[in-house]
Amino acid sequence: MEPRKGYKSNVWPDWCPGCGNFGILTALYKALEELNLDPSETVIVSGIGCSGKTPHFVNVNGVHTLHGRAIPFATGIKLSNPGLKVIVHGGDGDLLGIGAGHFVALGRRNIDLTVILHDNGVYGLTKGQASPTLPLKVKTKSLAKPNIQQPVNPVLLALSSGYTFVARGYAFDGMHLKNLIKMAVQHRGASFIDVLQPCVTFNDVYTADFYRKAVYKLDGDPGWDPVVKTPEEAGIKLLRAIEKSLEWGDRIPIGVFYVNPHVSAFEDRLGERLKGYPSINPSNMVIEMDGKPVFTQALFEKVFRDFIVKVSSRREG
Amino acid sequence: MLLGGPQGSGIETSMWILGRILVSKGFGVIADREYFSNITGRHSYIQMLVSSVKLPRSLRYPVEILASMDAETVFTHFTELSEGGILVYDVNISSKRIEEIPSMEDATRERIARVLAEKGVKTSVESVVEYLERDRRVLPLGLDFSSLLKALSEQYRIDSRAVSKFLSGVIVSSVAVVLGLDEDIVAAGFRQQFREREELVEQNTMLYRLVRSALSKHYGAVRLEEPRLAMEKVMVVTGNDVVAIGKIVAGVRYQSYYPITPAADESFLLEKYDNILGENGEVIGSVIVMQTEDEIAAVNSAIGAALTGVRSSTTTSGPGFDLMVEGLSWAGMNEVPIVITYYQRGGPSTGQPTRGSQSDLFNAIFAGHGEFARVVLSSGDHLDAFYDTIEAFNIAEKYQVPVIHLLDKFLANTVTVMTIPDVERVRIERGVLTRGGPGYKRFSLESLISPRAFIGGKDTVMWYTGDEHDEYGHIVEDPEVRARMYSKRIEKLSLILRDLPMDRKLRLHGPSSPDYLIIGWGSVKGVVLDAVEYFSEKGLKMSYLDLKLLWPFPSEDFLRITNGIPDSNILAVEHSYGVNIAELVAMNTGRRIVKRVSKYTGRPITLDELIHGLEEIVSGKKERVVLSRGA
Amino acid sequence: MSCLRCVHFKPNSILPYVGYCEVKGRVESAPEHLTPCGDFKEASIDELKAVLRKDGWIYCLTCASTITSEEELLEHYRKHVVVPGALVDESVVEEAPGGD
Repeated sequence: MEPRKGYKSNVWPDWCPGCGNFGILTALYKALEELNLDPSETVIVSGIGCSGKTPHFVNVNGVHTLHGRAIPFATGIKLSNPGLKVIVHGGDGDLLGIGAGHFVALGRRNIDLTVILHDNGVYGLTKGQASPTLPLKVKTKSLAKPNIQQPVNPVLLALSSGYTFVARGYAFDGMHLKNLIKMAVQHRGASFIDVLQPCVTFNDVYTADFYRKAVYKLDGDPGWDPVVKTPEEAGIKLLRAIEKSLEWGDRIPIGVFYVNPHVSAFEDRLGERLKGYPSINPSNMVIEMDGKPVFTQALFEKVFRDFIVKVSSRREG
Repeated sequence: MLLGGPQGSGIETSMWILGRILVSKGFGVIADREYFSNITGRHSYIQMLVSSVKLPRSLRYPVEILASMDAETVFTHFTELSEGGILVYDVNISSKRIEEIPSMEDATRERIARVLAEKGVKTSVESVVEYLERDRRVLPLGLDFSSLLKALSEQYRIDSRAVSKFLSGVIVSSVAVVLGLDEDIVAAGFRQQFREREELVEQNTMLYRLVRSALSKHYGAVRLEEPRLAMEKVMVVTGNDVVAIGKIVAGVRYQSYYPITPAADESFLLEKYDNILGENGEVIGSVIVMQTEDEIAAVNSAIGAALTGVRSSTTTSGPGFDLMVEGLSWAGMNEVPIVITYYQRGGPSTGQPTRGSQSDLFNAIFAGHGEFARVVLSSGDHLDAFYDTIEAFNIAEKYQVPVIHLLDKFLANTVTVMTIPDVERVRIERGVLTRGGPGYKRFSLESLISPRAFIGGKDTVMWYTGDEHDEYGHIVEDPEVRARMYSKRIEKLSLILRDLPMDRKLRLHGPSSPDYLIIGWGSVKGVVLDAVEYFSEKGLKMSYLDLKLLWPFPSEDFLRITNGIPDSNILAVEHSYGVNIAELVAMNTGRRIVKRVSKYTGRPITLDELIHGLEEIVSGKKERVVLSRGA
Repeated sequence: MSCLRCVHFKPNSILPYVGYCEVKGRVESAPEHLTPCGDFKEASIDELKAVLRKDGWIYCLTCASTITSEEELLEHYRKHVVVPGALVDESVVEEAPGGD
């Protein structure tokens, strides 16, 4: 799976040898290539951590933001210029710990962007603390004592928050992941992919070996149909997706869990109150002409007439 | 005058109706709204000043008219009524005792009870009224609210959930009668307020007739001189309104916010005007007003929007700003132009959500780890705030820095009459822009201000990161690049100081060699200017130096203006404990200002107490005066 | 002011002696009814309990406070003016200045 040089930037990726991020990166390059996205109209927004560096390795616009805050940045970018394709990359601590509030908020809004979760069970860049997806009582080599917090289930959280495309992939099944990324980017609405990845340095429990044995594909079952065909069947499909999301341990399903194209995207909701949106949007509006505002004095007094009081002179009796 | 009643009782409506009536007759009006952190039930009041000679810019005690909807207002404010003043009240609550008012705070009740005891007055409304009439020559106008309502309800169907409309009608009518405003003009006021609700206009007009008949002997008891302001049309706005309007003119097309007092009203107004239509109804733009899940999302989504070339901002108060600080640091690091409108309220922590202060000077200037350029601006009054709002975005984009427009609750909530801004003299300056293209370096070191392309620009790719970065925006740890990028960002501060005209940095009002120079910033401007005028008429030359650019601090200009005036003749005034502007001055210029006037009860400084305080300082009695007037 | 003791009267929370009379179907002002009108019915403890069960709350005018349990009702009933509910005025929505 050799990516075209077009999407690779010239920054050396400094992740550890064997890091799952390399798998995600390659799948990303290939997906961008197959979708033929214009780099100047594509933006990768990341949080903090090893996965946070992702934008620097891709030759598209990159915004490497604050811990947990990639989604708010992405929201501002996307709503201001809805023509952009925006992809968020974040770690599990970033998106499900400190950033959980924003993660849920995006589901409620169903903004048309894609969230890719680098799910490795640890906070890598700060030396291996337990992250929100590390199960209770697990002790990785980087922990002094076993973990005393329960994990959150990313797929379940995404489903209950309102994401309308929910999937899970595995970092070292590149073809499968690439296809998920393509589908997610093309889906109109909030898309989420939980990407399981080993952390060679800090997580000696959930290793490549473990995942290779445990992971199985949902579409291996020809009867599995995650796409909601009519709004009425959304409830049932959601329940089935939830059931699948609870499977963990020796058998972990990957693939598409749920797709619901019948929920309005946030951009459309904004379009109901803002004339011309999204084709007329903040990034393409004219706000000045030769250094002067678009308001003439007359227009200003017309638009804000509710605040203007005419003083009646005595002559007017 | 002071109008008081429980929150949600129609007091605001009274203020708007009376205010607009008086303005339409040519008077200048200013009104401050004081309220509790409460939805309904607690006490609130409007303190209004009407002038026939100028646009008022401060309030003063005592008031000539006290119009009360309830007993709590009478007890809370009777000491602020002038000798020979007028009290309007409801006779049906005459027997109410101060002990029977659950909405009054115990501390307030005890304080007032002590005052009553000292004066030998019993704790009932009628005793207070008797005292006022006997000892203060006050004219008590007791109205029977109940029989007024009965008379009204015989003609009209009154909605039992709209009793507030009746109450505001009584207050408006009684004040109007006392001021000698005739039925036509009052009815026009009702019509403007209630617009489509014709039955309310009729009811309130009938109410005016009933009240006028009940108070006929006192029609025009407070004589208003013929107004000499000679204005054809004016704007009647709050600070929140004027900033929102300024933002629309400035070209803001994305505003994010999290609801917080006293900032949220600005966003609500923006939302009302979110579709901007031209002369012929054509769409010339629209504003996305985004309510986010918290302030962190508010500031960060505003930054995201700015990256795509949109003029964006967020608006908040102290607690919210604190949450935005990490974002501020990111914006400084990435040279992103955004404006944070920061309305100060009482702190620390939740503080006094509905009371004003100027206690966050240092927070706005110094918050945010690392050293980076930011600009902090302040506005002295509503008209300044309009122009400063637009200037804030010009500065943000020209110098690619985050700008904090530091205002306060006093400005946000005060209703004032101002001249209509001259929109055609406004400039929109977007700084050095470029189309970018292949190989674009967002952080080019060739100049202090790197030409800015927007994300989404054709054939352009750029990177932003919170880490130290190279010219392309990629992470860099090389010490030399680090040093160059770091200093590039900070050196912008000197450029800004050199570039900005004096007028945007500080403004001197009054003689350049005064006997006393008062320095201050923000909404103390009005009351200080009035005090300066007062002293000047008494032969004491005073000037006011209004500091508009708080950061980077205009040290050179400050030193030049104050050259020749000894430290002992400079005073500072601020709504805070420390009067921190003096510390800021000391830090930047070495000038030590010891004489300070401070107030931190959360209520605005009134002219009477400021004059008194300044007299104490000028006479040498005190160096530090703490004011506290007003409930 | 017999309206305040009448089970048919629900005061407006802003001006408590004014409120809605269920029987007359209109706004009434208590001071105008110093003697009870023909439809006066004392808000007995049982009546109030019934309203409490039905609506989930009743109102103590003296304390300007909401009562949600029978124990509270018994405490207030003896000494205070307890009414079968209070009406929140429409201006509260229009004028609420924001408190936080």
